[in-house]
Amino acid sequence: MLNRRLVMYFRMYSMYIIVTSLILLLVVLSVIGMRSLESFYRKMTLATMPLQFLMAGIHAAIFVFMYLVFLRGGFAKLDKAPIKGKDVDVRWKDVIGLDAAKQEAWEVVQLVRDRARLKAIGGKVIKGLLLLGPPGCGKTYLAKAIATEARLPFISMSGSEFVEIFVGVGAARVRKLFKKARDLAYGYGGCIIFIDEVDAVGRARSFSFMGGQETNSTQNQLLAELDGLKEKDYNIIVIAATNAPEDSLDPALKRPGRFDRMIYITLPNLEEREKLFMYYLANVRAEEGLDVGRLARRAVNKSPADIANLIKESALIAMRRKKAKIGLEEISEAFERVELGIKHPRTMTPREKELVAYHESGHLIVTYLLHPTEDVFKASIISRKATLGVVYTPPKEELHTRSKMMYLADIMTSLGGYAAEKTKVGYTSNGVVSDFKRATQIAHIMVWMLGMGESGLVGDFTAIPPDRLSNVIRKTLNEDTNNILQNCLRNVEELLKKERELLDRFAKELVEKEELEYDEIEAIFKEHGKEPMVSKDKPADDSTIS
Amino acid sequence: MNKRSFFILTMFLSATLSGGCNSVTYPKEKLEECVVELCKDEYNINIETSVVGSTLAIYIELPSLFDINLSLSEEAQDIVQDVLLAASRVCLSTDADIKFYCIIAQDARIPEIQLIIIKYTDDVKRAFYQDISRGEYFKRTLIDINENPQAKKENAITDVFGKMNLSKEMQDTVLNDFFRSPPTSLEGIGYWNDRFYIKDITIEEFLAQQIASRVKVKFREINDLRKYTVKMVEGKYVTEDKTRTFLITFTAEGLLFVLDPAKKLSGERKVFENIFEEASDVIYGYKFTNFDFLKLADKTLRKEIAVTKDDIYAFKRRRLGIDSIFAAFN
Repeated sequence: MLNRRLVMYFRMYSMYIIVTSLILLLVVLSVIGMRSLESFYRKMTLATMPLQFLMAGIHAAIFVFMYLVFLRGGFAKLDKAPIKGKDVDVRWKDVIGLDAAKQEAWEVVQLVRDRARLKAIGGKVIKGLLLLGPPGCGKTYLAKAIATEARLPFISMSGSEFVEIFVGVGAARVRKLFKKARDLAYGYGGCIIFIDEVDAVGRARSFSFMGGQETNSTQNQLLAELDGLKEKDYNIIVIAATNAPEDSLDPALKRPGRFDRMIYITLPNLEEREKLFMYYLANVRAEEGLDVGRLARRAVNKSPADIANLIKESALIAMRRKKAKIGLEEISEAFERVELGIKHPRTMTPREKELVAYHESGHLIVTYLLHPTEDVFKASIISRKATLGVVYTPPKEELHTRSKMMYLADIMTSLGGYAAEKTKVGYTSNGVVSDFKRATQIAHIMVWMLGMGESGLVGDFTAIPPDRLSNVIRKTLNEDTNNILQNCLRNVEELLKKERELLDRFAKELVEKEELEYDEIEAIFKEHGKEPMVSKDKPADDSTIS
Repeated sequence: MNKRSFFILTMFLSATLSGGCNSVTYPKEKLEECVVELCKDEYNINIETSVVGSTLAIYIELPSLFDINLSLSEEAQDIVQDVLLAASRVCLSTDADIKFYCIIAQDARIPEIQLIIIKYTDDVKRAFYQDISRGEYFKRTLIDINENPQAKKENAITDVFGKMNLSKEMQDTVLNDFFRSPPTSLEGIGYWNDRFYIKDITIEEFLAQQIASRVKVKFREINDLRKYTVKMVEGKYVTEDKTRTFLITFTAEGLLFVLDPAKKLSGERKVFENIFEEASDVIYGYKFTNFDFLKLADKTLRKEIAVTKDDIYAFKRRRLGIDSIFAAFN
């Protein structure tokens, strides 16, 4: 093993060893030469040495600059030091949630570790692992854990590091990366290459003459190297991660023998979110008895990175409040800050303020009384980001399907602001732009893609080029879309007319207090004898909407 | 570069530096011996040496220093160059305080004629560092071919002693007691009858002599100035009543026969200006400040001018024009 290590070091650092030996030889010869000089010449040489060093440095800098700029050889340089698995130090238990992904990844670790046994029974080692999923879900973290558990050297690169303006540089970097990995695999028995954001080089190749050759050549080299691994049987595993859709990746990259296994990493479920909250809260000073279940329920559709960010924000808020520990209040504020943004109070005229208050009250009432899955946590007419007001309606639970009723409720909620403005003053403002955009998009999807129009037309009409759709069908679909919007608007206007007293009350409260919290909203509805559409205790049921 | 590589490189560089900082090549205790050995070993030249104060004198006897035209023979030039190189190597690489070195070369056939070359060690260093040009370096070397003053003196006395029929021993005793003393000026330097006649050269007299030598060359080599026939130029550094003066005396024989007073005056001024410029170049070139006046004296016309040190430096720094310096010249 020692001999193999020595050979490996010589292979990896042969240039360094030769250059260092030459330098040492030159220094020895210099010493001998200096000793043979007369003292005056020796002194003169020594006296001019600093200047010579300086000049040599300047010449070297100019040379390197010229070389990099004009000969571009330096761009291909791969300055990636390998990291030993034990130095990555992300243990398996540190990867919270991702149970299914972990199980699949664990198999790969076992295969890499116990390669000899696998070969003995004639099995083929998995060479590539592709982690797919939304950002912040722990793909990189999982890759690090694989490296730690496999106890192998780990080279991490981002896909964008291969991308250069010059054709061939990316490919050269891929070659150098795999050469380094092969050397390490030779010395340590295996190596893990991790390519983050692989879509930078792995997206579907274009074969036009208008460019894209650099990406193509980089990807071709990557494919060649992945194939090369199989042929020469090096114990190298390539883990790639991306949050781009799977379809956007080149099919050649995904075929067996390259990235054999694809692991889908999704947003954490309720149980995983609980674990994540427990993990991150354990790393900070938090009040005891915090209901992590409640926090997890509130953090629907949050990624592990979002949850980590929430706790970080909470800690900052607690520090600002001079509190020794993070409490529920700080976490709640962090939720709002992360989701709604930081308050940017703007000066509005009383008329504007009133209009905004009616607009938000419209959203609030419609959501509370008509939406089957969303709950109103907060209403505000304090400006945040680019909005003048907001109704904070976090989903109560993660839902993987959406029914027609839910889509209609979404549209009606969006139109609530418009209807409220119209009900109050008889005209509307430009504050409805984003609401209309959302409502129209939902209605369009319902009709054009999901077959939810009144006319009974079914199918995904967006899959057909527009010029191949008949005018009749297009007209029917557009009418269906418009009917949905009109019906929803009618429902909302009727509701708000019926609940005018409630609308005026909420608008008045908002103008006075600017923000209404969950408890205040609940109290006002109760005062008016209203129950929410969404059950507070039971899972949502949308059967009540027609 | 990791720590280990840095350490190794530092160690080797230290070794190089310590290798360069060890003892001097030609220690002062063996200075004369070193020069002799160096000339013998490397150039196969036999020399004699003597050190007086901070001046090293080297004597070489050559079978044919002069050719039939009484100019330096090529062979002699090569030998003298070798000795000069050896002398400069020793003077530069010794811990002895050698400020000047002087080569005395004699022709074995006519030892009464001698070649004297005097160099200032700092000039050699500056030439090595390219702080002064090669041309300036050669101008700063004093080269003279003269009749050996001691020989002249001893020959005259020996003639007298011969007429008096004094024995050889008695002649030597008298000569030793009264006529074989070290010279008091650069003109007296020489070698005669196995004995050095040298003095500890000072920078002041070296500069004075250099001014005189350069003036001579200038008036000989520049066409416009030849007509003034400035041949005799002497440079001395004199101290009288605590006033230190560079005294440059000369004769401009070409002006003796100019009858037009205006032309004569303008010619005189031109001679004085040129001599002044050369002298100020020398003084400023060495940044020499240990004097009060530069006095230029024309022996032929009995005219003289004195310029203060401050005016010389102001002139060289272009704060004072030559017209201002010679405003009172008439």
